[in-house]
Amino acid sequence: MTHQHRGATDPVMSIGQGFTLVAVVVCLAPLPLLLVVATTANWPLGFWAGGVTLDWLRQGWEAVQPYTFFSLRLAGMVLAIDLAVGLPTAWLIARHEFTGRQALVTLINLPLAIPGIAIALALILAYPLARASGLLLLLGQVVYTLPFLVATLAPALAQPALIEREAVARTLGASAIQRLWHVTLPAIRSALLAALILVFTLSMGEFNVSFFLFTPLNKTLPVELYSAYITNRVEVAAAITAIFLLFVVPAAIAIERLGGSKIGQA
Amino acid sequence: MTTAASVVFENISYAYAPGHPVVKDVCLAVQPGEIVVLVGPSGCGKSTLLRLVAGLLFPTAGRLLIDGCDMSGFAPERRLVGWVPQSYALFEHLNVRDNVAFGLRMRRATKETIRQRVHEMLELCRISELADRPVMQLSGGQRQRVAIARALAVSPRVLLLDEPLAALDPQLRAAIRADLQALLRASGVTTLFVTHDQEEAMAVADRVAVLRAGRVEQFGTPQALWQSPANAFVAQFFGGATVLTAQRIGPGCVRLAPGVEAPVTLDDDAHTLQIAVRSQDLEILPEAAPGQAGQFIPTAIEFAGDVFKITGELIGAGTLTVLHDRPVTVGRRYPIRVKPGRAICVIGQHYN
Repeated sequence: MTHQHRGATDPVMSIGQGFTLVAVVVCLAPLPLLLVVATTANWPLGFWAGGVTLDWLRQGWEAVQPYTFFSLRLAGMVLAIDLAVGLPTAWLIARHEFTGRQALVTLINLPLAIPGIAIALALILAYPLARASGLLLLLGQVVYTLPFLVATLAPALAQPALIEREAVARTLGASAIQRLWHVTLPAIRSALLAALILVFTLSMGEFNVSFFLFTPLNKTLPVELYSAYITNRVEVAAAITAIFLLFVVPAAIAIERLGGSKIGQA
Repeated sequence: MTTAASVVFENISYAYAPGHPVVKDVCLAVQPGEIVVLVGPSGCGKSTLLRLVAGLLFPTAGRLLIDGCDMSGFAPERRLVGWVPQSYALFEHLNVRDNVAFGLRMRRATKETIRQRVHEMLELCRISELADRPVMQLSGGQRQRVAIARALAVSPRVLLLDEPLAALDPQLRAAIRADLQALLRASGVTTLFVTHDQEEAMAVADRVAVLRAGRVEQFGTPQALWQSPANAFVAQFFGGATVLTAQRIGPGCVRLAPGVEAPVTLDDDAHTLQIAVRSQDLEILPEAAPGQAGQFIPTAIEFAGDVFKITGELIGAGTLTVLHDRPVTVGRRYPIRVKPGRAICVIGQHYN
């Protein structure tokens, strides 16, 4: 970064930087465009044709409001179940050697390798009666998100330094609950928080599994988003997408802040 | 301040996997308030012994007694034994004061007791000025003190230190070692101290247990181990000696090599015996020196400040190191003898 290095430009580096710039532009360009479309009165005629309006955003919000709340509620339930199942599982994998440990790891990670559609179809075939109540939707999302939670928490729990600190806490008289609360949780706090946000974001944005498992009464935001594109004006669809991003982007930024590169790696 | 307890290992064995014991039939009796150093090469089971005392492991055979009480079935949280692992394992989300207070808080001491006891410990370990610092910001030596203060705060009956100096810069180690010894004496706590460094063991210990492959080879004061090593391993590992086979040539006299004879104290009349030769025991003579002498061919010379450490071949005996005040020529033959008045140490002799 010093001035001495500026003169000698590495051609490979320059090409790399060029590609990065193009990739960033290609990825980010749709975002402002989306906002322009969502606030243009008559998009087919061009940029802000017919003036700037917030009508589409309002109309979009009214259309997706119930589904937004449904998705939030669903994500909350997925989070609770993932935590109840995933934290003990991650503990077991991180701290214990037992027969079938590798099989358990494989089983949990299996949904990562299977397309969401296949998971959904398998669930419908296996538990057809659970579909109407929305239980299957919940189950599908849990199966889909659980590997991410376990893969984020298990390495944090397996750190030898943490295990040693817990042992020291034991010799100092800390009970199992005290050790969990005063030593383990503070040490895995950021991994835990990141895992929770990750699961929340995945649940909010999940489409493949949800598209097959939703019912009219249990419809998630992304599924409604899809319907909007199919049936509504493009301006409304853009407005709904903008609303959707409002929920997901802050979470994604939070994950990155918490050390995103380490998350989701087994 | 602390009620120091005795620690007794009664025929203790431990195996991580069945059939592969890392601790074998260890018997040791540590007196209240004593500093016992467990020394041995890596993998000899010394850290495992500490974990057995802490209750983090339970012996697969034998009994552990603390203060005369059998510890089988006692979890670590009920033993009142302080453990300082090699990494120190400080609680990194807490500051120095809260690290030291941790054990007292877990044991639900009153606020006033905690305040007072933490203050005492910070003073004792001379870290009062660091009290509000996050532990992440501390140096190695400071971390060590925090870890010891944290362990001592709950008034443990026994303190276990696992290689407490290993993580420090070599330049600081000697100074911190002296400080640490003073701190342990001041606290009066029974201490088991693990190291692989014999110099450290000699400097700190009341008594030393030399371990090899899970067994105690010898247990005694540093002087006793130095003067009368029980076997060749102790002489080499703890005493830093070269072990040679010598012939008995008369009452109280042995021959190390052709022309090299020395007085010894013997309590049996074996014909051949093992002796421990240290670098201070022999002297290289001027080339034209008169009198009886052996022959020594230097192969390497190390400058060590006020002396030269000269390694070479003692003809008819083997390779050894001799201290000498001048450099010598590698490959040339020098006359050599045992320093007059110096008694050579015989391995396996029992002194009282």
